[in-house]
Amino acid sequence: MTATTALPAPRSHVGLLGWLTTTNHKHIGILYMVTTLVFFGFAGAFAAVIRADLMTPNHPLVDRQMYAELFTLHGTAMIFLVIAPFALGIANYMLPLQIGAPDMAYPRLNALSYWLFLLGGLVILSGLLTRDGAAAAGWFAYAPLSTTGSQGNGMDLWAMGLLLASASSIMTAINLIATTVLYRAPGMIMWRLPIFCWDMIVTSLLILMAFPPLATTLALILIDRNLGGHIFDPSHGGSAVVYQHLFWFFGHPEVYIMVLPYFGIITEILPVFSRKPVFGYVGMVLSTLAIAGLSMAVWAHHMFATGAVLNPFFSAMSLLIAVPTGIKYINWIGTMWKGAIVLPTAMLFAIGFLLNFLLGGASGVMVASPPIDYWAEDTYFIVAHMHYVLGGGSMFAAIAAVFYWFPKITGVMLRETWGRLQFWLMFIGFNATFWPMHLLGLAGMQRRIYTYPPLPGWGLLNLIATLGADLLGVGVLLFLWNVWVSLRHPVPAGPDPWGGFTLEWATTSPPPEFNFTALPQIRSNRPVFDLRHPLADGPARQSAAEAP
Amino acid sequence: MKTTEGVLLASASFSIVTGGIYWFTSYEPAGTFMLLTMAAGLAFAACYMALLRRRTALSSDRRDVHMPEAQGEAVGVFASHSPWPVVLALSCAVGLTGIVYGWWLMAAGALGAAGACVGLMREDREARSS
Repeated sequence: MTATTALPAPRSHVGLLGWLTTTNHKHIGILYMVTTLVFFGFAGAFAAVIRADLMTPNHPLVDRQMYAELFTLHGTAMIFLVIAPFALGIANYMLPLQIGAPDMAYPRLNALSYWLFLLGGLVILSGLLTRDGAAAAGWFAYAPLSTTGSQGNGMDLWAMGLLLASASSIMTAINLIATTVLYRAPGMIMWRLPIFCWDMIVTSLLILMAFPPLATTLALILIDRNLGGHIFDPSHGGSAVVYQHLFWFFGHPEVYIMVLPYFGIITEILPVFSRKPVFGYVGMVLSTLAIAGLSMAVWAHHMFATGAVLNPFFSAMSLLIAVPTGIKYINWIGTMWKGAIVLPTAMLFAIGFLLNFLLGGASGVMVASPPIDYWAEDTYFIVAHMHYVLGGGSMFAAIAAVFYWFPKITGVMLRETWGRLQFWLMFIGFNATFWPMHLLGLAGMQRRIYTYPPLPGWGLLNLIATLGADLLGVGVLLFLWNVWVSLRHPVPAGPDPWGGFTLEWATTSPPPEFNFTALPQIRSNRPVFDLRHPLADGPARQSAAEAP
Repeated sequence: MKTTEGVLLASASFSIVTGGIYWFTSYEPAGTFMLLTMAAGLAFAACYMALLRRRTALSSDRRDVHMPEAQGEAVGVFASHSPWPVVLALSCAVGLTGIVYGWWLMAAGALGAAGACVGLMREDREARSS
């Protein structure tokens, strides 16, 4: 076992002060996850008002300005404060455990990252308390709407909050890369890393490439708004198109920053509940790298309609992403193929992810083609597409992760009956909410309108979408109830309730302060399976052997 | 570490090739600059990894290492608690909002951040000397 040295603790380690001063990766992981859940509550409440507003034609509940603030904060919160940071929270907790490390490489930097994230989120939401209201320029805040077009301090607070959150993400990415490169357990060569860790390294690289342009853009917005800059102001020789280039150079990789970690989570869950090693380990890693590389070169497919970019280049690059993503699907199906599949809630959500993300990916391929994009641009078709990718995809995978790792984190099991009911409520609710939006978009319903005329079919489809959103909400409440009941009346989980393969299952639930008292010998990417089956030959060995 | 280095180099090469193709098909400077900057960043990281690999031998890079061989290997110093990260983050947030709400907030934030940095450095020095 490797040796560690702990810095002397300053004062108390318990209670509020303990949480405020903690630098332990597991505590910080929990803080991330709980905080993102709270931000999800805000984002969900904003979405509930949006759906209620659109339930019937010509019957808005809120005015135009409030509606703009709601969709801006909903998008901002879900993208910057929920989906991506939740994955970082899971990685904070699980990555050191999966690689056999005692903690993250830089524990205090890790704590700083969390507090910057929390404060960034609060600064963004504090815009609601200002006299002129919160930011209302949409989550991508196009200039000049976000510069000369937005009055009041809400937009400034939005940019400042995101600057803080960006700095947080960059620091976390550095920490995750350094931890994985330097703190793997003896024998855990890179080609024996769990796929989730590979996906987190690649995600971290994407963060390091994508977030500096975002931070630059935010700083330039603040300069334009507060220091008399005209960088994005065409009337003074600036360029609004440059804003779009800068923003989407961040914005499209951000989609994969929100998706790749969840690909990794699914790749952890499917083999365990199929009782098979992952099919095509090397293919999984290389396809992740290919997706990440291509994602850096597709930013301007968000700008087809500007006429200011080379559409064939960006269309070709965007369509190419379907190839490595398809490889992943083949590998996921190959992993499940002829496996002894069991269907606990985590596996149900993982399969739900596969179905929903497939639909989101298919509509993504469609809008990667400029002629279709011209038709669908800024309609509800795009809203449906991105929600299938991030809601039906990432969010379902996040819930799968919670059901899978909750026993490890807390030491107790979540109730499976409630979990299964939650899955069906959310699966039906999700598809009822977002599938009609494809039809609405194709029928010409624009996004970001606070009311609409009673055109044929629009009222019914919006009503179905709102009822579906209600079902989704019930599913989320059921999940909270499940967590509450499970913690109040604990059913002990033991160290390895699922028969897991990776190192986190080799320690207690919850793990001790520096994670392990002893580590098993690492001979493949399934060290705990090898430990349980020392004489097993075949898949595990093959999986290790196929690695370069 | 060799694998990480390879990943970074491959990514840098991809960025250079993509940036080249993009420039010669579009003559669009903003995107070309960003792609080539990305290539430079990745190449820099790859070079750093190559240097690090020459100085460091990790048991985690050995395919056939036995656990007892790595026994007692010192892997680092880990702080279990520190008050300074939250102070530093709070100072940054306060300082940044000073752009809108008054420069005095920026000064207060800078002061707090400087104090937190000093605290972090002292904490680190004490830990390493103990």
